[in-house]
Amino acid sequence: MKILIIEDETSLAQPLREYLTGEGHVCEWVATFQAAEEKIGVYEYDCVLVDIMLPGGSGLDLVDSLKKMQPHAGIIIISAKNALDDKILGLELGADDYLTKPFHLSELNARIKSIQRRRQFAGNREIKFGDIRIVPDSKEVWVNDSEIVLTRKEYDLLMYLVANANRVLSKGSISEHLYGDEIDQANSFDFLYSHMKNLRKKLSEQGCPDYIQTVYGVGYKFAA
Amino acid sequence: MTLITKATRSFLLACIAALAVGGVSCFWFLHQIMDSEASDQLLHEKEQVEAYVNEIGFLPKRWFSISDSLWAVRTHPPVPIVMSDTVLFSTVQQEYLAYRQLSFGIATLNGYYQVNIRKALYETQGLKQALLWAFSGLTILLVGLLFFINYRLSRSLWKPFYRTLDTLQTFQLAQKEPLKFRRTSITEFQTLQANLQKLTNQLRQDYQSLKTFTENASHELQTPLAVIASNLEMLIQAPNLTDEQLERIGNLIEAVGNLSKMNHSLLLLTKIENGQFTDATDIAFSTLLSEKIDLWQPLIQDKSLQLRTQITPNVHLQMNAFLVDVLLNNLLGNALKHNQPNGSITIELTKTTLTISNTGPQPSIPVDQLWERFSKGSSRSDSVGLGLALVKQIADTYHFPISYHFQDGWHRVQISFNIS
Repeated sequence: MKILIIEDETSLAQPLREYLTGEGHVCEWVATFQAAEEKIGVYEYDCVLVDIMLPGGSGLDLVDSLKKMQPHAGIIIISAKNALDDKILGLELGADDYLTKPFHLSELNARIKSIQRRRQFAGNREIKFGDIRIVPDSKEVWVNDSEIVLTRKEYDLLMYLVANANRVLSKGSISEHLYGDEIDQANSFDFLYSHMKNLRKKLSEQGCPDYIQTVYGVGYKFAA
Repeated sequence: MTLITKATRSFLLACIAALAVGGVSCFWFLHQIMDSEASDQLLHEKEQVEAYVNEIGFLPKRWFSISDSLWAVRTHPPVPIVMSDTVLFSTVQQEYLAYRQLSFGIATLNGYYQVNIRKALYETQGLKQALLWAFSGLTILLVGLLFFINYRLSRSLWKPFYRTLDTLQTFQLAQKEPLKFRRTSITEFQTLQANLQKLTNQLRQDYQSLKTFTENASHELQTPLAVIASNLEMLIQAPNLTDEQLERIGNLIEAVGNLSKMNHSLLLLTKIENGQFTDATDIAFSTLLSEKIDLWQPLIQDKSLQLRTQITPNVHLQMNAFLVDVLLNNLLGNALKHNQPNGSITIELTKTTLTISNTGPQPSIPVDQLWERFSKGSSRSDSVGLGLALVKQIADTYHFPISYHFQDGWHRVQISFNIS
């Protein structure tokens, strides 16, 4: 996909760009409101990441004009403000998602994947990874032609792992994806171990190779 | 005791004391006058008798038969002048009456006589009684009237003061508007109001700037945190990292995670304080609690904890949905986090209370500090000590009384729903 990153903080835009390029996307980056307006006016994008507080104007205005000029582009707002009003306004203006800083790159990646999936036409909605086949519409998971029944959280976990395949994922990133900010780290890590254990068990029961690698001291890596 | 009661009471006591002393001395004075008057009358009659005897030479005959108040007995001289009080039974009035009697000797032409003049004192007694009643009546009337006037006067005098107090009682640190005192013409109260105004304005401003500071600081922290987190995340993707390097970065990622959670909680606290979660909806609390317990169930099983629940169905509360979520997550999360291996959790919901108890080690800080921010009952590094502060803040928002007890190895947190 072609992605435009509108973010004034260079040291944040840099890893963002790297991570997404690593995922096979084509990334462009601008740091100001004016530069963003120019880019939007000239080029077409599949997905735009917009920071709300920009030098020269509000990212929300960019969302508004983007929606008018490029209605098919996916829009993700990245904001330091976790204000409900901004969130509602942004989504009302047509943004697809809203991420509050600080966020995990893997989380952003998963959201972009989900936008990508939604933009794809029907028929090609299956996700395949090794022996695993996922049907997001019905939330079905198949391993070697036999369906495995996962709990809601286990399904979310698997989706997240698959979306960030071949990446090292920190425990914090996964547990935050599953439980948000409202459960503190100690408990959510415990949750994560428990879900991870169950998911591994259910997958291996169907003869699926163990794709979940434990990365010492950091977290996990989902790789074939 | 109110100011008016106190003032009125002192006033009444003073009134009663003054009137009691005044009344008694007045009565005594009156008594003295009447007493000497009675004696004077007797002496006057004596002079009359003596004058008569001097002129005529005999005692008037008729007197003896008309009245028993004046009689003469023939006797030998000398007879001393004796003034005496006596009590006699009156056949007419069927009661004992007080009399004063004067005896004196007098020489007449047909011998020496002892003349007795007796005078009833009961007339003066009646007079005294009448006076006493009149005085008492007057006293009661006077005191009553004074009391009434004083009470009314005090009330109207202190009214601006009480109004000021009422206004002051409505003061909240977080309120946007300054306090509006009702104008008064009394200088002292004007001064009081002006000073209170100044004080509360200062308090509001300080509180506001503190809040703004916390909020801004938290917001400004988000971006650098995002920078650190993203760059660390990129860093762990690098190939050929040694285990030691990975572990170090892992520690950093975890610390940044804790930091951003802390920041998030602080912002949340500020927002709750700011009243940014005012919209309340009808929360099916029993259902929500059961759902939450289901959510935590895997972890409870994982830690081999014994869970006992007693949930009264159909408990509904008017609360903000998000805050209820935060409240339950923190309470349940704490019960799990600060538990012990093979411990227990008890959750009890009644119509009016939610009680969550769990086994666990004794908190290392005094119980009353547990609700404070950044106070930790355990030395866990993954706990920042904002969970209970959040719980408290939310409970306070809804005026729900909340209590914590530790007894026999059990932590017990109870929230009462103030359903009014």
